[in-house]
Amino acid sequence: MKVTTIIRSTLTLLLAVAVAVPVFAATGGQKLKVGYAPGGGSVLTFLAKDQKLFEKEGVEVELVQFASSADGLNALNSGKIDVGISFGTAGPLTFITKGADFSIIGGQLSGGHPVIALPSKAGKIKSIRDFKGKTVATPRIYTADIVWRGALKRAGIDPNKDVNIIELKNPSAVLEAVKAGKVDVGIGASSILLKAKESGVSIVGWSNDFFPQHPCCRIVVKGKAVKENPETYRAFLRAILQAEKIKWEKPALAVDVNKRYLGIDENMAREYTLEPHQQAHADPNRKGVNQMWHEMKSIDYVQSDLDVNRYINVELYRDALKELLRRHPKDKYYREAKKRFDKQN
Amino acid sequence: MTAAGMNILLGVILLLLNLTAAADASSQSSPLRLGYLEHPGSALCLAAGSKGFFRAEGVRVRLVRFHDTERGLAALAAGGIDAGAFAVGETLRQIAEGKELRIIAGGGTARGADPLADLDEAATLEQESGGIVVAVAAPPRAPGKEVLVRLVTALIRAYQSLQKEPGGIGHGAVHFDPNPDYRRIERLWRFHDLQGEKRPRDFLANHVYEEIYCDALDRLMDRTGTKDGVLQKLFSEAVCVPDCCPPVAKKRDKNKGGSR
Repeated sequence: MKVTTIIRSTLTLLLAVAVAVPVFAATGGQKLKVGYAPGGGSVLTFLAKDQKLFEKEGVEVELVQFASSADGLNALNSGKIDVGISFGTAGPLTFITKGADFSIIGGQLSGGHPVIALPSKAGKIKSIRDFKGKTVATPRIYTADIVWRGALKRAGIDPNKDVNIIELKNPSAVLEAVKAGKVDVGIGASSILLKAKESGVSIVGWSNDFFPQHPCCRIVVKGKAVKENPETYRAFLRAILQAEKIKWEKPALAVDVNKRYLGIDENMAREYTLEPHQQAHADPNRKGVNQMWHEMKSIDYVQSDLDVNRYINVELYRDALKELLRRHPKDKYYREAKKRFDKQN
Repeated sequence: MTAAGMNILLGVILLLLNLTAAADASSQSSPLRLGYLEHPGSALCLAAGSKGFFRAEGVRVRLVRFHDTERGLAALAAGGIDAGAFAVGETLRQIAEGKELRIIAGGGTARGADPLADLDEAATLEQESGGIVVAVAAPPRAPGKEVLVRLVTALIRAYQSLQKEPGGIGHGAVHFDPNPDYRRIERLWRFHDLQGEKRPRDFLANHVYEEIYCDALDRLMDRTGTKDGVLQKLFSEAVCVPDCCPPVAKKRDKNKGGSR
């Protein structure tokens, strides 16, 4: 072996240690238990785990799967996990109204819930005003339901008088009601998109039409934990932001990761990962969460005088993005993320 | 392994999982002892027993009568009973004193004979404090989650049954609601000034276990869908945490024990 090679290798090793040590020292090499529900809202975290981005940022992540958002949020509230990534927006906000010390520090998924109808009825729904006088199936309190009802109110349509609403327990039941012709239109969710397409049901709109960039899955943590150890959560968000960039650059890798982590087939993985109406961004979107909060209040789902801004922490994400821009000042993706941050927060 | 082989294996695993969940409830070594107060608001418990809903839901229940809530809650604390339908006001006072109780369902509240009394909020809340809620001990002393879901499912069925009897007790001087209803309980908590300054904001929420009621309602909705108007009304009034990104293969009824 040449002397120069040995010197180069030694220097590389020293450099790697020099870079790694401060990161671990800052975060304390802390381990985070990250809870998720096995749907389509976790791809950024899966990518960060798969590509060892958490390790790179000096935080150890253990993924913990939950059967439902309620179970996951209870686990977060009782300290059994440190982070919740795919438990929605309405769920965490409901817990906050009941006094939970939650803080929304980022996002995972926005938009992407389809509005469905039989092809014979599809032409009747072109805008929010066309819902007037229709029989509509909706999955009660799901994100798409809240977003749709909010849009009705803004359009001057009274959901209780001007629309015949059939509240169903989940999006699958909505799809069945639409297929059976029992309703004119159904407010769906991303989970039934593939089934809807396969069964010949038409997509007549998207939740994005009612509320552009509406938040869906948010990253939620305990407020006390953030105060005690902010650097750990900054490191977590840096990893998620890098995963977001990888998803944009290598969508096929993202599909493969979702397929492996969720144990689903190629078609479903592609649908969950690449559907253009579903946008995977780590941005907390304070303004969007505020709007969701006010819409939940306006439809009487929550009753609260709380200032929801106290439960949204945008500084950690801002710092994480700032650090990535410091490392890569010319990176177009992070510059775009900065523009989005300035607009949404 | 072939796809058919995988399907068979999956089927066997699912069957075993179902049997395990069922065994959790049916293998109760002894009946669940459900205390109840001598009060018309306890009627859901009595109806669930007399109409066979506990049995139909696969949970063995022995009803134990109490003359007052204090003694009932003392028996619950001492392990003399496993669950109890007692007055909400006293239950909340004992929670505030530090008793490890979880409210899992509602019951009946006597309505005042004087319609003007409804306009007096304090009088209404005082009256509501005498209404019935179903409470259990906190985990790990509480019965498993599956048993509790079955218990509450039977109470909801009793409520459906009472609502469908014209002129029966469900339409009389007692207002029934199987929903533990956090909002209502929180109003009573504030009315009795139980929060105090040092208690965490989510103290009460951690003692009202709404997930049991939501899972029970979910189970009944699966059976009847929107065909049952009484059930549909309960569903429309419940505040159950929705799923953001519904699971690939949703399995909400997994027995996770008293997880809270």
